[in-house]
Amino acid sequence: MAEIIRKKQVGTIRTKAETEVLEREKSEIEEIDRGVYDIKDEVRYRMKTASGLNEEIVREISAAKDEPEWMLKIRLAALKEFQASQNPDWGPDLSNVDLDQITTYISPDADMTASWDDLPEDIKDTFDRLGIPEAEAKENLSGVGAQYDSEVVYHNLTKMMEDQGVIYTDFETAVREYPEIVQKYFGKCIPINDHRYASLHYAVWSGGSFVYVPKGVQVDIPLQSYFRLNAPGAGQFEHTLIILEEDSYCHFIEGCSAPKYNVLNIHAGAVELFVADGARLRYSTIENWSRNMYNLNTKRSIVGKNGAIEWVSGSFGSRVSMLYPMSILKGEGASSEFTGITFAGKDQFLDTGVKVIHAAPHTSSNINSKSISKAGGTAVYRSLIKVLPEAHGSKSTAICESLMLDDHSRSDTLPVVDLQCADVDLGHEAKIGRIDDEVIFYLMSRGISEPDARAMVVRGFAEPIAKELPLEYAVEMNALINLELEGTIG
Amino acid sequence: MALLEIKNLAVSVEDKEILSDINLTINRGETHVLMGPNGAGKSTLLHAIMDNPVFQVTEGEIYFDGELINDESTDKRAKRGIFMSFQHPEAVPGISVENFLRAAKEELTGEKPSLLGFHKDLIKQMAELDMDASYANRYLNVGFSGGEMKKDEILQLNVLDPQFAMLDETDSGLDVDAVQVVSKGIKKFRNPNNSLLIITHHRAILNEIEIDRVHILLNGRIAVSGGRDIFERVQNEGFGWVREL
Amino acid sequence: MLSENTVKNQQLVNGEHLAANQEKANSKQELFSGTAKYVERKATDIIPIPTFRSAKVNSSAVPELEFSRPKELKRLELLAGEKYVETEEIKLSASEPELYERREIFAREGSDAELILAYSDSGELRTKRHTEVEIRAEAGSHLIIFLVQQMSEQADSRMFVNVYLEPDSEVRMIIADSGARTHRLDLKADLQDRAIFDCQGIYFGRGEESYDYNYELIHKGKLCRSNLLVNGALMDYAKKVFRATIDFRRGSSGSVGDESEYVTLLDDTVQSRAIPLLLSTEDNVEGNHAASAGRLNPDMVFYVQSRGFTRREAEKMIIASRFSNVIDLLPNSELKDAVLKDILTKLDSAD
Repeated sequence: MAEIIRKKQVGTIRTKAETEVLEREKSEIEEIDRGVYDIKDEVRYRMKTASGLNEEIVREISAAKDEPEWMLKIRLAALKEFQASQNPDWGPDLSNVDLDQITTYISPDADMTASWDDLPEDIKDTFDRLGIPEAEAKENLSGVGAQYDSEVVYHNLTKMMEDQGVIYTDFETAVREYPEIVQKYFGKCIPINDHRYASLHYAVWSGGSFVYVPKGVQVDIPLQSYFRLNAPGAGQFEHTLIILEEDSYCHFIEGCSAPKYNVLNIHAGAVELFVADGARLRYSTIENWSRNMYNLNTKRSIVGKNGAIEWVSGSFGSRVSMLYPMSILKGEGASSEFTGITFAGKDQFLDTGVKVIHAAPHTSSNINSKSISKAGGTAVYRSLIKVLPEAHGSKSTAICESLMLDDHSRSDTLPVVDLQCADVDLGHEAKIGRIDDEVIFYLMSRGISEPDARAMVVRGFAEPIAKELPLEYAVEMNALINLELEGTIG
Repeated sequence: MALLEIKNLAVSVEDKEILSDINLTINRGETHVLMGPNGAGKSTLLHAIMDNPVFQVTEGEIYFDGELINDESTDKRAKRGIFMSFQHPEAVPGISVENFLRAAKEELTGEKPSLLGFHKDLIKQMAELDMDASYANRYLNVGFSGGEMKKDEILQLNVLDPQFAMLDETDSGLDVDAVQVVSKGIKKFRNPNNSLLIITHHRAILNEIEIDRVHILLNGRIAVSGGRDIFERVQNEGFGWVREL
Repeated sequence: MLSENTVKNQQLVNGEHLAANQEKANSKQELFSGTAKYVERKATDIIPIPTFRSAKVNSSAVPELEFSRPKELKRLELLAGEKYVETEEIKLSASEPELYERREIFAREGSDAELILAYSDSGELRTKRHTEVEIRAEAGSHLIIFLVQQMSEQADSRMFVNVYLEPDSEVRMIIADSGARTHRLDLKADLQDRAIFDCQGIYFGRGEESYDYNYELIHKGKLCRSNLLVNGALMDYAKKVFRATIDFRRGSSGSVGDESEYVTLLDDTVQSRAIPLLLSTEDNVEGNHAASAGRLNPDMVFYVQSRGFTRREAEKMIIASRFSNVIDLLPNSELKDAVLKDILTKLDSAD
């Protein structure tokens, strides 16, 4: 009978958990090729600033953009703040962000173009392979602004939106053509001294999107923007400013995917969202940075009375991410909803989360955050929920789940709750764990192999976020998860 | 011809022997009922046949369709046509019933079912089980009531159409009407080429099904096997008489 | 209340100075209009965001107290055999206004003990105490420790507890805090293989009392179990910071850790902060955290009122019931009554 006694009996087995301890299969996880997301073009520059950062370069950038004096002043003030600032003494290590290596401004060899056909071939090719023209072809995806390197090279807005008074343009154009609006809002949501990389951003910002939706206008087509980094050593500092006037609605989608480079890269964008009384803004993002990227992005919204901000966020890729979209609920009845997923793989430190300031009565916030870590990656959820004394009658719920796919990854949950008002209703839940063996057994009993069963559970875990995204993006996100999981589990 | 053949099987969990000296042969086209008091090891036997890693087979052989399957993983066994209806099905958030069943069907048949064809068939099968069509889009067993889970298990049985099905107290927690519906689903599954092993204590679920053989498990061993008359005797007298054997 | 460390962590939350500024200036229009003004940073307006150990998330901002006299050392060795039960009540007063002590408890293999430490003061003049408790629990030992603190708004209190749980040991702590001008509790439990640590706590803050908790449950061995449940209530101008960390270190496979804090806020002037961390480098673990904060559930108050109680009575009843996780566990009825009475008296004083 000896031959049929199975390997499982080897050793003394006390409990299921201990069986795991004894028999864990340490499947080292190899980094997968990033396939279609890593297409690298031959880089063509029209203008490239010198490495390092000083006043001269900032003036050069401003001059090249033909900017008004007030903008230059902001840049210079921000530069001063930046130079006086330090890296934060918490969170991921940023000491390898070597700004001397970063060429802060690259303008692609393409001017603003009105149609897809006019784009240079290699740029078009990259976009093609990322599926942008297909997306654009689709009726519900007709508003496309694509950023290639630091300048917006492609921009298209349907006639219908223009007729409604909606402004959707690249940020440089906005500074030139709508200075009174830009000056009124620029830097008011995220101050130039917010933190080191916000200061850097304001000093060297380049490219980005500007959206203005007039009172009562409902923009039913999601507006999209792709930001890509495509030059070695280039920083990306796009500024996104979205202003929703009273009772308007807009859905803005930001998709990022960057090719792989060996040179260190930094992304320090800023997203300022102003949601006026009764307006609703949905801001969806899929970030998929190359594995050498330091993604130090700042996103923030200020929401007026009965207004709503909805964040949908998928964070993939990058070496380090520090991203905490923040909602300042400033008007009575304002609300914020955050749905996000973070996937940290080998050598990645993704420190993401959310911040909500309840600054008015009867405001509400809802957070649903998920993270997955594997292959030695670190996923950190860091959050702040603050209820100011005047925010009576406010509600906040947060659910935070972390899935660990192996025993050499790291997953941390660091939520801060600060209540200065008694009349609140706050609930917070967090969970860390791994995939339940019984679930795997159940799925396998229906004929599904173990790797497939595990992948299925992970996709299911991410599904509530995918569900919030438009179909094309949900498909892209699932493709990303599959890419991440390939050869990983099992 | 024997579809499932178990010889001298012994099963342990955490070093504790639960089952020993189990011999069982189920031929194609037969329905067997497994009975026994609580804790006798009925579920353990089913889980061992399905290779739940919690349980260890320490002795004996399991043959399916003439082949030794002791070393095969759970999914391979499922692909051979073994199915188990769980007493406590697992909830799997994020995966809809329909997507799950389509993926499983594809695994079992090796062919991708057509989206529309599969959907239509699924909705039809659900209707037969008195399940609302909306359940196709619900996450697998998430927030299902006990009865809904059991119906969902039978739906899976009908859709996946295995050669050999094991039902672990599929009738527990069901109301009278639901038992009827489930019983019909089981009857629909049965044909002269497939076999069934049911753990149950109730007559109702067997109303529509012919019983070929009944086994009573006591203290980890099959104490007695026989025909439907044994089932009736347990219904009337309980297990006391078996203990005295 | 902000330490230098925490102020340093401002970078991330600097944006909040917007909200903070707004709070002070009360000119909310600023946010939507005006020229580009660069708002000055006010470190004190910024609340800290927790970070990793390196940034001292787990350390309290409340300073230790200073004493002129030497630390009193008390040692207790518990041996296997009959269950050991001891109650020690310490009351600070005019004659004995200070307590500066260190207790070392060795629970030897197979020992079984129940210790009650109850601290109070006369409330007539300022008192202070510093208590260190060092516990080493050996295999098979079973130890229950009750820490009951009923001090007045005249008292400052510091409590530092270190528990080393060796493999297969079990330690339970039941902590009732209902009073002290400032109170700080640092509790660190170090769990080895199959150790069990369970901690049930309650706090009730009123007046200008300030509570500062820092729990750290560190799973070092495999298959260990930790559970922390704290219920609290705050009224008047009371302040509380609740920090709790469950840290699953590499090698803690098969461990389960739960932490929860539920706080009832009775007045708008209270301040409640919670920083519950879950840290994990092991996948084969289960970590759970739950928290809730808010007013008393009005439906519940209504339900109790409908049975013939006044609103105040109903509220008191519900708050008291919130503390049952600890009060029910207290070993004798005198202690139960004393804690409950203390809480109810405080509630009455609010009328």
